[in-house]
Amino acid sequence: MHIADGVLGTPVLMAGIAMTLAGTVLGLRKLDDDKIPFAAVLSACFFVASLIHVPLGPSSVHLIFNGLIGLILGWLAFPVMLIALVLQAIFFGFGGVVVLGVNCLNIALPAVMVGALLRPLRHRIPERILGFLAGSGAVLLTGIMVSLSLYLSGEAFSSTARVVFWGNLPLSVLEGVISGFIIVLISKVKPEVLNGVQSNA
Amino acid sequence: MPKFICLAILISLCLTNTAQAHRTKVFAWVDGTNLAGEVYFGGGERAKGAKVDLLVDKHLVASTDANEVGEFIFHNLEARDYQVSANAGQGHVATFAIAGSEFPEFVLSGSESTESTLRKPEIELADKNSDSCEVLYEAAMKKAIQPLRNQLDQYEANIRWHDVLGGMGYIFGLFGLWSLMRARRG
Repeated sequence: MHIADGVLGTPVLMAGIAMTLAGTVLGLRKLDDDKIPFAAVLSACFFVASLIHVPLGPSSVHLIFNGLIGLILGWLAFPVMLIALVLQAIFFGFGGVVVLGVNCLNIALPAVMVGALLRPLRHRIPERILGFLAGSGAVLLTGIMVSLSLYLSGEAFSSTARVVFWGNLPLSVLEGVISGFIIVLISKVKPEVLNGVQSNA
Repeated sequence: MPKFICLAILISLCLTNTAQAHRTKVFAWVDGTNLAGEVYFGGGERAKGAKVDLLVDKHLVASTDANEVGEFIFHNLEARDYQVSANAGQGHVATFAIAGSEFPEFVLSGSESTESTLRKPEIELADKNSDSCEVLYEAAMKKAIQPLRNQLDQYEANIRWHDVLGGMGYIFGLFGLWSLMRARRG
C-alpha cells in the first residue's frame, strides 16, 4: 500500500500530487462542522489500523478501512487519509514524503469510488453485504492502483499486478468481513451516521 | 456462518507469517573485501528473494537476489562509496549507504573475507608486523559489534506505541484546529 520514495517516475509523482491536492480541496469544502468528529475518528482509525500487522495465511497484512471511510465520508476520504499518511511517513517512514500524493490517491480514490457506487444501494441490500462490498472492493481497487502506478513507472504490469492481486486477496476478504461487522454495528447503534452522509454527500 | 468466518480468521491468525506490506529496510556491512547485508521489514521479518542492486554514484555495478532469509553478499569489491538498493516488490524499496572508509585499508590475504583471515591469526601474527596486527584487531572489533549494529538498526524500524498515541493526538488536534478556524470564521 505504501510505496517508498525513489520508485516512481516524476510524471506519476506529479500527477499523484495534483490529483490528491484537488481531492483534498474538494473534501475540505464538504467538511461541515457536524462531520469533523467523524472525520477525526476515522482518520485516527485508519492511522492505527495500518500500523497493526495481522498474520494471515502465508503473509501478514494490515487493514486500511478505506472502503468504510469512503462509504461514510465520500470525498472527505482525501483529507482524512492525507493527514494520517503524512503522520505515518514522518513518524514511521511508511512510504515517503515525495510519494505522499500517489499513496494518498491510491487509497482515497478507491474509497470515493466505492462510496459513490454503494451509497445508493444502502437500503436495498443488507448492511453486512454493503460493508463487505465496500471493504473488499476498495482494497482490490487500491491494489490495482498500486500496480498501475508501478507500471507507469516502468515495472512490468502483469507480474506486479499478479503479486499485488494475490497478496491483497486475503486482505480484501478480511477487510470486507470486518467492514461488514462495523457497518452492521453502526446501523444498529447510530444509524444517522450513515443517513446523514447519504443525504449530504 | 459468522462462526465459521470467525474460526477461519482465528486459524489464519495462528499461522506463521512473513511480511508483505510494510516498511522495508536494508542493512549492509563490510566483511573483508565483500559487502554483506540483509533485507527485512520493520518488525524484523525477512524479505526473502528481494532484488538487491549495488550502485556507485547511481550507476548499477552489480545485482543479486536475497536468499531465503533475506541475506545477500557482493564479493571482491574495491574500497569506495557504495549505495545498496533493495526492492522487495510492490513498491517496497530501501537504500543504504556504505562509505569507502568502512573497507579495511589493506587486506592481508587477498580477497578472502575477515572470517578466513581471522581463522589463521598465528600465521599473520608471526611476522610481528604491527600493521597486520592493527588490521586484525580492527576486523575482530568490527565482527564483535556487528550483531549490535544489526539489532540497533532493527530496533529503529520498530513501531512504538507512544508514537502511535502521539500520531492520534496530532490527528485529533488538527481536526480540532480546523473546527476552531471554522467557528471563528462563522
